[in-house]
Amino acid sequence: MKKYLYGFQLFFLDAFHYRFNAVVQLFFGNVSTVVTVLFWVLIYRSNGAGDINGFSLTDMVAYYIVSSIVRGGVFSNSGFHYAGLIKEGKLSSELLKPYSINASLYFRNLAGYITGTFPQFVLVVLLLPVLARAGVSVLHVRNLLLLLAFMSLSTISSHMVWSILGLMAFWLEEVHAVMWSFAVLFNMISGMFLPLDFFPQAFLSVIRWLPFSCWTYLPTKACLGLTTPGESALLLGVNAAWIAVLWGLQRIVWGAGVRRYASVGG
Amino acid sequence: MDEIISVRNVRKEFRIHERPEGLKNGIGDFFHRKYICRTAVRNVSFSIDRGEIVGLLGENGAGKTTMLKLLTGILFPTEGKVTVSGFTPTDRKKEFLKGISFVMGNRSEVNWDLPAMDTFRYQQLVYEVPEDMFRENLNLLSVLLEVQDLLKVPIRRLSLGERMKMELINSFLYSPRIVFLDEPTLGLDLKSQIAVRGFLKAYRREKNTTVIITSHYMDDIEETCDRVILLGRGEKIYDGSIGELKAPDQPFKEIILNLIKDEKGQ
Ligand SMILES: Nc1ncnc2c1ncn2[C@@H]1O[C@H](COP(=O)(O)OP(=O)(O)O)[C@@H](O)[C@H]1O
Ligand SMILES: [Mg+2]
Repeated sequence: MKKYLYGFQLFFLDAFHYRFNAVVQLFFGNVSTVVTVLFWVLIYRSNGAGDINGFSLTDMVAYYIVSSIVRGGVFSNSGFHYAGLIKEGKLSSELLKPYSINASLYFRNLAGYITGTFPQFVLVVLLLPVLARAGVSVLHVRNLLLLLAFMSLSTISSHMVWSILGLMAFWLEEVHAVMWSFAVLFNMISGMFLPLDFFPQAFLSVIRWLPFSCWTYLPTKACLGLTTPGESALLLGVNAAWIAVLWGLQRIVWGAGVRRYASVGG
Repeated sequence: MDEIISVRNVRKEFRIHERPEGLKNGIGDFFHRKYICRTAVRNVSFSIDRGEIVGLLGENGAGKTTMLKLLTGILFPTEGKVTVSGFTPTDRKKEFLKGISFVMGNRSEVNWDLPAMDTFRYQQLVYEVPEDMFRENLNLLSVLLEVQDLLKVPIRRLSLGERMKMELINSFLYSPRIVFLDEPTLGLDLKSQIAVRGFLKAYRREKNTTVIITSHYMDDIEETCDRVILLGRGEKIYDGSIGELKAPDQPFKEIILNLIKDEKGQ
């Protein structure tokens, strides 16, 4: 465990070494969230007063602000990282290390997430009083615990799904285009673009059981206190089960793929 | 004798997609892929005892690097069996991986942004090296390689020769029982080449490590090795002690070149 944490520490050292880069990130990390929120303000204005699909303007703003923290916990980077390692032959040095490549990649991403989400975190802390005054209950201990639980599952399941996609590089060599297409699809059905409540009921009743809803929609809704405890418990269980399935699948894909690894270069 | 490496009838094939020239052929290729098989290692067997220093020799493309990758578990053999200290390398057992080291002259293992010392500390954790052993090894290695005062400088700022020395320290820090070196002196100036050779000899005297080294600088092999395995187009064409090969009236380099030529003539 300690070695994975040290990888963590190295990541921080790296981030501090390039101070300027870190500062720029701090300023621009929230640009896309702010733009999205502005769009929604415009949409609600033109719509007159009232709710859209049960979301008031405050709910909507809160959804995007909170999800700006949550969505960083989707480790799509795992897929791109595996694909790059395989294509460029850099997997070779990883194969020599006496650790789990998979675990070390997961913790690297976790470190990247925690440092990288700092700007969004600052934004949320700044806006909390405003949101609280507007009646959003982000500071409920139960909601925060649910957020944490869903997010722990989402970091793991997204890491699994994405690494399976990235491991396709053992067969296809170049998988970036495929992965980008999946990224758009996944973002849509995880509720990153739009809360899933905007989709037709029949569609929602299916996708809420898939692991993707846990990547943005479920943690955000739970954090905002918009789910019932029973529902949350059930969905946490479902997502834990998904992780078991994905883990098995990933082992199979890895086992078959690594035999084909060509280790180009060197 | 104490056999530590055993290679039995090993063959390694790479399947490569033959890429035609030009657009028209490229389009045709999109629909009808042509694959060719390239055999990098064919029917090779040998065995190496604990404490031996063996040079793998051969022209470019002879299969030296592929052989080392098979021995370290980076590549799966297409056929045959490789056993290294009782393990099948591709099983990636932790105990196996902690006992070997693979230095690739043309590929960097160390993090370029950090001072060497940080990389070494990470290596210490990954390989679970006790603190006193770490200090002792670091001290021994940095004295042998004469880099005591460079440990705090970011790797990026070091010269090629100094960087190779850091790679060597990084690879020897955990006292591996078997060391694989692929062209460790590649691109180094004469002074650094001599330093690396001197180091290998001194280190071996100190620790009785098994060493397999490839190089196309004959001097590397002649000076450091007890035994030579010569590969030609993937096949083993000579395997014997270096003493038997040496002749008083002919330079070592010429003897090797003649062996390769004889093989091609047949
Ligand atoms: N990943 C790979 N894919 C396809 N062919 C390869 C690959 N690696 C090596 N080869 C081929 O196998 C042969 C042996 O390569 P290599 O082991 O690198 O030789 P050496 O190290 O002796 O120069 C060469 O013909 C090389 O082109
Ligand atoms: Mg080579």
